[in-house]
Parts: sequence; structure tokens; C-alpha cells
Amino acid sequence: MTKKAEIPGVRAERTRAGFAIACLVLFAGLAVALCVGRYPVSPGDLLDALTARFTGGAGGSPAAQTVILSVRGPRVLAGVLVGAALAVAGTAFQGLFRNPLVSPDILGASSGAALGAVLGIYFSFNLFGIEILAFAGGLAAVVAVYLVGSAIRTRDPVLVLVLAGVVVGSLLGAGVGLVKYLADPYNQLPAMTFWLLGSLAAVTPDDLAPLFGPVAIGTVGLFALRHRMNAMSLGEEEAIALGVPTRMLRIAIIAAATLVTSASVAVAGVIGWIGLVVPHLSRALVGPDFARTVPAAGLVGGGLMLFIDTLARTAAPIEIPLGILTAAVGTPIFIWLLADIERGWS
Amino acid sequence: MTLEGRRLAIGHGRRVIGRDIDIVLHPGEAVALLGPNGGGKTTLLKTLIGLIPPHAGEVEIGGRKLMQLSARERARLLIPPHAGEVEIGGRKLMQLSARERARLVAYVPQIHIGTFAFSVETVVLMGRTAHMPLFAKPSPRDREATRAALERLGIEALAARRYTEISGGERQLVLLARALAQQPRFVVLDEPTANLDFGNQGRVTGEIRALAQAGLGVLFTTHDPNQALRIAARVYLMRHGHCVAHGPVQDMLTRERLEAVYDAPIRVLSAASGTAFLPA
Repeated sequence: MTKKAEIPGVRAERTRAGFAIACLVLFAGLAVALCVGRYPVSPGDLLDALTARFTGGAGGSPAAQTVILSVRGPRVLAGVLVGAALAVAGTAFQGLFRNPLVSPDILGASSGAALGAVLGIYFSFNLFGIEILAFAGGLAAVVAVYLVGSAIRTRDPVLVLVLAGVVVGSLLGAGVGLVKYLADPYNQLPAMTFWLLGSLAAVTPDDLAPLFGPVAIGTVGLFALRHRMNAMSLGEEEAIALGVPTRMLRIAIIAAATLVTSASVAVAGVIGWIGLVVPHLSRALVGPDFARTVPAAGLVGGGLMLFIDTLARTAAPIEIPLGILTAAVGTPIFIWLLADIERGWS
Repeated sequence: MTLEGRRLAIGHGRRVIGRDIDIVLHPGEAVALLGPNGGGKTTLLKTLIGLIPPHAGEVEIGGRKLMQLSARERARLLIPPHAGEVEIGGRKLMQLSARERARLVAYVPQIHIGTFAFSVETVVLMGRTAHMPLFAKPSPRDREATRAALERLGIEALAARRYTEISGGERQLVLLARALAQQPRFVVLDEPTANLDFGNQGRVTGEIRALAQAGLGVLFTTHDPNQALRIAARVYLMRHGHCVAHGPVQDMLTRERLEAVYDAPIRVLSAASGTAFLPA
């Protein structure tokens, strides 16, 4: 680190620049996701269509309007919500569990939701039923992990939670394997596989309200608690000594993160990496203070998700599952962050 | 207002490591917990600030009992409930919420690096947690208290530096500043000079003495009788979980007592400028 960056004014400027970049990522993601696709829309048409929509006047071509508002709009909104939610939840969990390798599904939310979803597909539920089952599965898994964790009294409740999450998660993974093994290999198995790899392709306008509710509640909760996450990240004893009601806050953070993760997984399937990598990008942009990292992670997560989803729709003649793309994009980013630990950690 | 433990039995989990400990800390005095490794110093310290409930006895702060709690509240702590109280100023410490407690007692842990590269200012600002509402962001008053704490320890130049990049001595001063920003009545320090070089030991001990002179009650653990000699007015000698003796420094820090506590021969160097102990 150069001496220059340690002068307070320079640091504040860097933080502002970081926030500007985070906003830029989100807006660029929105523009790209709305414009690029099988029916390309020019940025001018995009502006016309949006002004027409919000001022009520006529503008732009009707075809562009339909594509932007009805076809791409819901998917883009869902992408922003899912990306931002996973990134914010990941940031909160990395602080809570004091570990930069933690992602929002560390407590089994994704595995529980996956088991719920494959069961829904196995029993031939409709899409809404599958989503409900996935959401319930994610919540149930985390509740089970939390109960196991609090039944075991130790000096480090956080460590026990993580270990319980790993164990319960692998049991649920075995359950997913069993259901896939029993499933009809011609109809159900491809649907399960596609769902487990994550996709926003099936998102309908009807999905937005059920997704928005839990995601909004969880994200607002995490956002409101961001100032206390600094002290929480010091560990149980020190946080208590600083006057943090750690148990209550831990429950609140886990509940909020689980709500957003389960809702995201229910609508979009299992999407890895976003919740792991974006918090690091956010820290690289605005520094480690959670008061700033949490909002920046939301902006970057939403934007990055849109870039990746646009790639998923357009890169190949068929939809590429999101999980594959997030891994393909996330791995090099993570290695890049690892190569310069300073950038990733601070 | 005093911080007082009576007939304490201390220990982690179900294991009791010490019994029948009486200890009292007054405002404006520095008190040392001195004794060999594994003697229970840190456990006693954590019991006194409510991080570990006592197995028996009472801790009171301002006359309120630390452990007068429902089972549910006790479960908030890390260890199964036992008996006993810590009182501070006649108030039982465990009757208080984490926030109330933190406003009365600040804890300076052994220096650590931590997971995230927070700036020094952010670390000291965390000392204001007990003064902020749960969802609030730091107010100008919190920032002012943070700046004042940094200035009082003469480390305001470090404010924008990363806590992970400064030296061990500076880190200890930052943790002291965080305790000051907490504006407590008592400060409890665990091995405040462990891992510090000679010069930084002197600087940190000087600051600790200044805290007591400013009216705070200061309690610290140490392995080093010389440090107790320099800072403390009173000493509690701990061995095998018992407080074997306590009293003014000059009565406690004698060759006979120290040899008995450490179970090892000790040499005393005396000069006009003072006394020092050396392991023989």
C-alpha cells in the first residue's frame, strides 16, 4: 500500500470512486441486458421506450417496447433482485462467520431448496408449486441447522453452525441424488438437472411479486444491520464485550440471508459464486467497512448477474445454465483476487 | 461504584478451575492479576465482565448482580448456567443487557489481527457500539468520541491506516483507544503487553497507568511481576484457580510470595531507583 492512500481525503475519494464504479456496473448491466438479445434494441430505442412507459406518451417502436417491457423486463428485474440479494447475503455471512470463503448457502439454504425443487419436479407439481417447495426446503434446512447448532453448547457457536451446515447440506445433497436416481430419466431428470444449474429463463411476471417480497424484507434487514456487522465480525466474545446482542443479531442476519437465498433459489435455481465473489469485489472497491461494503455488494451483484444472464441468453443457440457461467466467470475473478490478497481482503 | 466478585467459582463449561475467589475493583485504581500460566487469570477476567458465567458466587456491578437472569438470557452467554454473581456498583452484571454492560466495562483482548482489514478509525468507532441504537449509523458524537480517544493516546495519525498493517504496539494502543471510546467506568485488559517489544511495553504500561489516574477502574492480567509493580496499586496472586493472596503491591510482590506462586526460584534486584524481579 502506498502512503498516498492512507491520507484520509484520498481514501474518501477512493471510496466515492468505488461507489461510482459499482453504480456504473449496475447501470451498464441494465442497459446491456435490456438491449442485447435475439431482437437487438438500440440504446436510443431503449431510452424512448422507457420514457414512453413512465411518462405515458408514445415513443419508440412498439416492437422494442414489447421486447423491453414484457419479454426482457421481468427477467432483468429478477436478475437484479437475485444478484443483489445473493451478494448482500454473502457479504453479511462472510462477516458473521469471519471467513472470506463463505457463501450465502453455507447453512444449507441451497441444498434444502434443491431438495424441495427436485421433489416438486418428481411429484409433477406445477412451476409455482416447485418454487414454493424449494423456498420451504431452503428455510427448513437452515432452521434444522440452527437447531442442531444451538443444541450443541460450545464456546464458539459460529463454528458449530458452519459444521452443522456442512453436515446437513451433504445429507440433503444425498437426498437430491436419491430423487434424481428415482426420477424418470426422459422427462424429469433433464428438468431437475437444468433447475439445479440455475436459470432465469423461466421467470414470468407472476414470479416477481413472490420473489420481491422475501428478497426486499431480507435485503432491507441486512442493510439496516450493516453498521453492527463490523463488531460482529470480531467474533463472539469481543462483540459481546462491545455491547452487541450477538445472539439476537446472529439470528436476524441468518434469517434475513436465508430468506433472500431461499427465494432466489426458488425462482432461479442454484446459482453459485455470486454470493462468494461479489463481496470481495465490493471490498476491493469501497474497503472492508460493512457500512459501505453491503450497499456496494448489492449494486455490483445486481449488475454482474445481468451481464452473466445476458451471456446465458445470447452466447449460444440454446440457454446456457447460469450456474455454469457463474462458475466460469467466478473462478478467474476469484483467482485474480487471491493473487492479490490485499485487493480481495480490504 | 465498584466491580465486585464474591465467592466466585470459575471455569469453562462444566469444568470448574477455581473456587472461593473474592475480588473488588474500585474506580481510579489499577489492579493486577498475577500468576503462572493456567492459573485462571483470563477465566476470572472473563467472568468479571460477563463473558463466562461463574459456577458459584456473585459478580456485582454498581450493586446489580451479573447472573440474575432468566435461563434464556443466560443461554445468550456461551456456557451453560452455573451459580454466582458479579456485581458492579451494587448492580448485578448479568441483569444488564450486553449494551448496558459494555457502557460500564470495556474489555481489551489480547491483540489480534482479525479477518478484515478495517481502518484504525473503524476499529475505534466499534467501541461506540454500546452507545448507538441497533440500526443506527454512527452519529457526529460517536465520531467525536472516536477522534478524542485517538488523540488522547496520541495515535490520531494512524486513523486512516489499516489495523492489519500497523505494528503490534500500535495495535494495542488502538484497542485501548477503542476501550476509551466506549466511555466505560472500568477497563479490563487481558495480557496488555504480551507480544510487545520492550519500548512498546513501556508505552502501553504508561497509558494504562494514565487510565487509572483519570478515574477508571483498571484490572489487567500479566505474567510479569515487574509490570504489576510498575502499574498496579493492588495485586491478586492466582495459582491453580485460587486467589492465594491479595493486597498492596509492596506486600504481595516479595521474593517469598512469588517463589511460592510460581514454584520457581526468583532473584530480586534492588537499587535506589526501584526493585526488579528476575527468574533465577
